[in-house]
Amino acid sequence: MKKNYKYLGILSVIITFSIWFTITADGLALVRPFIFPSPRQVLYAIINIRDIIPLDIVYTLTRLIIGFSFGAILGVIIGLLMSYNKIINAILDPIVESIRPVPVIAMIPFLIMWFGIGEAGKIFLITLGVFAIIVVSTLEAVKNVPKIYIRAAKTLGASNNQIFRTIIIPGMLPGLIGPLRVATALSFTLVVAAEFMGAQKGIGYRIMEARRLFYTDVILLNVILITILAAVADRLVRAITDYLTRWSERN
Amino acid sequence: MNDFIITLNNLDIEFKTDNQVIKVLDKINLDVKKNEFICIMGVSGCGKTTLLNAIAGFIEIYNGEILLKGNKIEGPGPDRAVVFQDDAVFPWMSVEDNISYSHRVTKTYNDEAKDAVEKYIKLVGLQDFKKAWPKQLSGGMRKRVDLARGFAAEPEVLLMDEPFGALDIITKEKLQEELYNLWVNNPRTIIFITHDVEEAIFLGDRVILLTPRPGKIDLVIEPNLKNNRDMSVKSESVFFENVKKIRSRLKKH
Repeated sequence: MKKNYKYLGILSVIITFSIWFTITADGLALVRPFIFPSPRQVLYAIINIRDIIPLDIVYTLTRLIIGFSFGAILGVIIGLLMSYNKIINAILDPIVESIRPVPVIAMIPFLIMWFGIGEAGKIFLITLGVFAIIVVSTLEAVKNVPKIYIRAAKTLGASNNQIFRTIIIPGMLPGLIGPLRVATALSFTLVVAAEFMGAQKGIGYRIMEARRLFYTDVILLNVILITILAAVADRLVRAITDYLTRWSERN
Repeated sequence: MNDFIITLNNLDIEFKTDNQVIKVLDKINLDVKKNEFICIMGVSGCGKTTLLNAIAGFIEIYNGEILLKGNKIEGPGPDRAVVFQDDAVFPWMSVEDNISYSHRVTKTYNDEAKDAVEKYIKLVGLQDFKKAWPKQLSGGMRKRVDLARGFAAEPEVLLMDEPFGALDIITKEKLQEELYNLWVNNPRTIIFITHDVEEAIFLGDRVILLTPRPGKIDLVIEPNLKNNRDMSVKSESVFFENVKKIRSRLKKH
């Protein structure tokens, strides 16, 4: 049964590619190649810009990894501090709650004014977006650690600090997996948006440059590229979090 | 002062809701001797779990006092480890790490403690599962981890809140025997809450029956079953006599 489903998946990929081939085929001319490039054009685009692709990937991923790491680490730390201490929570909760609903992309003009078009603004944009997701998710994940474990740890002699280290932190991990995956996907959107606002290199910059020059095949190639990177990153995040929660019933 | 491990003096507990005060426990007096196995039973809602939670230090008492070796208790602590009805085995720790948890957090995990942990792992038959995650164990095996963890903490008194309440009858009786043997070979003061008459009589040196809410001590019996007992004792007349005593009293509740 499972095997059949796998074949279905492969079949749907083949059909999708066939449709792409067909509608962009030279003879049929159903869609103008300029509007939607054919697979052959994308292939040529790879050959044409093969020298700049690796460096674009390096730039984009570097910004993404730095921004994501800052946002995730800061989000977890602030979230933990807020759940650990009522005073910290009272001070930070209104701030967190008020920045959380802000669509970070709307902040781009300010970020350009504050940081120029250098690296800091781009990284800050990603950090902000990831932080907003992770800080709230950390608070929720801590709340969802079953109270019975905390009670049991208390009667076995654990101090508050030990409960935090040995019960809360491992217990909240399963609740952070979903949010981490969402944040990873969001960082790919944000890094491209950040590179749109001005950069010398990177996949988002390459797309903007190609748009100005009407190289739609290069645009499509870079869209495919960033999609593949996002999918690989998602697999990686899943592999890491699955390992960290290998004790959990969900695995 | 005295030789009692736990002393309850005129213990009253009340819960306040928005517009009323509910009296849960009413003037409970009880002295628990060292290494005694006390079973506390009563109908649902009689306050037996509240009593256990008060001794564990989870709830405030309203009147009276709870003494541990003559000293007033303050909050939960490792001198009063609890085995809960619900599964409280930490799922992110191996069987061994669960059972050694108390020693590890109280920084007493020396060679002697390591031997003790090893011993309890063997006594509950989990030596082949030392490194296993709890999710790989059955419900009965997880309960054994919980029991071993409680014994390994070496508390002054081990509190058990209907620990076998969620298990099937076969596993339950097996664990009753195992707990009895564990206690005989590793004497410890145990306060065991249950609503199962047979369980209380099989395990307890003393069985204390509470009245419906507000819980007062209604009846205290000492089953005086033979030593080295197993489930077969449940078909002996002395066992029935004890069951009858409690059942006839429960009818009035």
